[in-house]
Amino acid sequence: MDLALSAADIAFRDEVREFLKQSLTPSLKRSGDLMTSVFSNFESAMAWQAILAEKGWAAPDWPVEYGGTDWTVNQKIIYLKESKRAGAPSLLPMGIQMLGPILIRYGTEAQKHELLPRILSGEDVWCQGYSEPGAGSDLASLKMRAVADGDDYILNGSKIWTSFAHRSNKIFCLVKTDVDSKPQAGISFILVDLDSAGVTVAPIVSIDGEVEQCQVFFEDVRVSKDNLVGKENQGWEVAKCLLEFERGGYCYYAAIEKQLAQVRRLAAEEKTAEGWFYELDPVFSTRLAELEIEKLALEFTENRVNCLAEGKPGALTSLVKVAGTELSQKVDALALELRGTHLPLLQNEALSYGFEGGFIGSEHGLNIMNAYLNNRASTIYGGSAEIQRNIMAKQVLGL
Amino acid sequence: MNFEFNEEQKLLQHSVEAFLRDNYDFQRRQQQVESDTPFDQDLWRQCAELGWLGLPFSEEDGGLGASAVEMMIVFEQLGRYLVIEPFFETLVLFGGALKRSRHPIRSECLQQLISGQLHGALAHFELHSRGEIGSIESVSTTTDDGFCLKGCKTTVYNAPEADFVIVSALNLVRGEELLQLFLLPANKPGLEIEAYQTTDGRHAAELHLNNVHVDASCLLAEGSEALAILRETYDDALLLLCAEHQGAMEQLLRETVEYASERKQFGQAIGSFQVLQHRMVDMYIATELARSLLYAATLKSVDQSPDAGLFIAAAKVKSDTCAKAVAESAVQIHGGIATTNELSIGHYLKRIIVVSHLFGSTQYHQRRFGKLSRQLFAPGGMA
Repeated sequence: MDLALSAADIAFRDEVREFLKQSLTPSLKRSGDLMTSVFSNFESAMAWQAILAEKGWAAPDWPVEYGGTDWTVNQKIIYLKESKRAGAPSLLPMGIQMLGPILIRYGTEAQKHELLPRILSGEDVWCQGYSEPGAGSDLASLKMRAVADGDDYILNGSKIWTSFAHRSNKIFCLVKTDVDSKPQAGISFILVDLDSAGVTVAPIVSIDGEVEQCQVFFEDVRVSKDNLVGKENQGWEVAKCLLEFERGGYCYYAAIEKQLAQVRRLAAEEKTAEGWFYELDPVFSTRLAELEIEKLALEFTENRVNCLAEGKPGALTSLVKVAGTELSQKVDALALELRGTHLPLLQNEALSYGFEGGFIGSEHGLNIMNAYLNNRASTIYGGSAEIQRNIMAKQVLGL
Repeated sequence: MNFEFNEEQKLLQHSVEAFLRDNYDFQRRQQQVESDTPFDQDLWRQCAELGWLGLPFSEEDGGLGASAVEMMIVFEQLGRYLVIEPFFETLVLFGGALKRSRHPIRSECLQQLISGQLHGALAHFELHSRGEIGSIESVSTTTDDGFCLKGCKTTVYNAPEADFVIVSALNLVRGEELLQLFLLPANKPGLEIEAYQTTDGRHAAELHLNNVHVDASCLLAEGSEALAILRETYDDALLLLCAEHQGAMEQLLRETVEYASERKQFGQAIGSFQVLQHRMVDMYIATELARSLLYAATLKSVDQSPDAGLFIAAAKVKSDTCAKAVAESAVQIHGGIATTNELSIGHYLKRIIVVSHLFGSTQYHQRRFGKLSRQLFAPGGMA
């Protein structure tokens, strides 16, 4: 047992820090600092991806032969942590984090050869077609049909909560290829061009006034059978594997550390009604200490999980997902207190990438209300907190 | 970074667990608690023979020189089996303070302790201290041949069985309060031991210092050295209390899941109800989150990292909070039976509540964490 970073890891950390210092432009950093969501805004995410792709760091989890890295688990954690700490935007995960590893594991040679480079270069932007209006937590009850027609499928149905579909050109979907078998058995995993005839993308405005989510409609959309990933009717296995990648491979504590750094900064700038700085207020300090302690517990739990799993996410990712998202919501709520009188101001344009105009109130808290609202979704998406508890009850406790 | 035990550590964990499984079931523990003797002397001797009493002491003092990780492993099992024998009091507190001193009697005394022949207690905290090491009122006045001690030490665990006690007092030297530690035989005239039983099945005492006259040779340490001894000893102790919590949480979760799988109401196992499943999952989450901070703080302590104090405070807060939640859930899920003296569940709850208030309550350590954290993030701090 030890906490030590090896000399190689320290050298790696310094290399990452140096790279971040050189490469993060002020507007990228502003955009990273003022994130309101698990996603950065689209423009800054893609701008940062281009810089990382050139460096060869856009997809650390992929094998080197596909443009990934040979980093150890420790190094990947260091990279994620340092990136968050420096205020780097987050890359959109649908291509790099989710589909990439799936193609590497289940894809044909042709699919890997054609699609992986286009993910890295940003030429393809992918979105995830999992949930449907009638299939949220109960994902296996999805209804979207794919009916064989010669070498093609004809797709009909609708997907919802497809993040960034309005900015994407491709979608990976779970579809029913066999309606007569058990729910999980008749599902396939298929890749679709969003510019195919019959596809309509309808943006959904979230409660923070922004569009991240969409609903995608499919009406007699023709897709080649070559676009299947894995075999027909074995999509559920692929889907489950992807959900683990979606839940894992994320450094919750680093994101929360960033939230806490913002809270501490504001607590040193903002005063309570009584006229003292928040950082000196006993009620506020007590709450902050509680959350900082929870952050440390989460941090070392994530470290433990990463060391145990050696890069292979398992059931413990459910624990981390629940603890991470629930804690981040608690920090959101504490931040609201600090924003004070300016909390109601709606100035979303001031949060956009490259914004140089004026705004009212402290810039350091500009994202707080939007972040609070947006983050309500974190305990719902990727398997809700309740679904995660069901998984743990079954898989860990044997209930 | 690595969170796995090495082979020797796994072996130690296995042997302590196996020993307690064979020798320390709950019924037997309860017989001991209800008997006339505070703890099982035979068991203590067996532990001495197994070498476990020597774990935290240097080879020079006749010990095994084990690290905080090995001690954590042992204390997790002691917590899991609700062991009342005074490992904590004699080894960690008394032995911990003694081993850090430079007193000539140290080695001889520790060797007796390691062989199981000597028991000790550390009498530092007082009614108003509430965990703050600097906050005591007992007074030492310098006499011709030594010192005279006056004051009262509160809730000194194991004092009724101790052969020696280490006592702290403040000596007023040129207007400055000098902290002093004394090593006294428990039968010293003027030392009045007002013994009682505790809620968690142990024995403790109020220790009255009624003008205790001691030789200069009884002085163990003073000033910054005495303070350092107490700080280090109590930091070790806090980590081991967290380890005890950890073992208790694990066992409570195990027993609760087992019970919920067997107990039937409305024609089905109560463990099939989602509301109870989620409560048990929360027990599991709490157990694992607390474990992570216990490991982190223990390793920080082994490394003597500058932020070890911050991590120890954090671990104590998390461990107390989680252990209390786990124990309360265990009682709730077991139902009425857990509120009886017959079942182990309530005894875990009692020990957990007591441990959460020893050497500073959860709130005290939360304030301590807040203070250290502000220093860490202050301009020029380490973060």
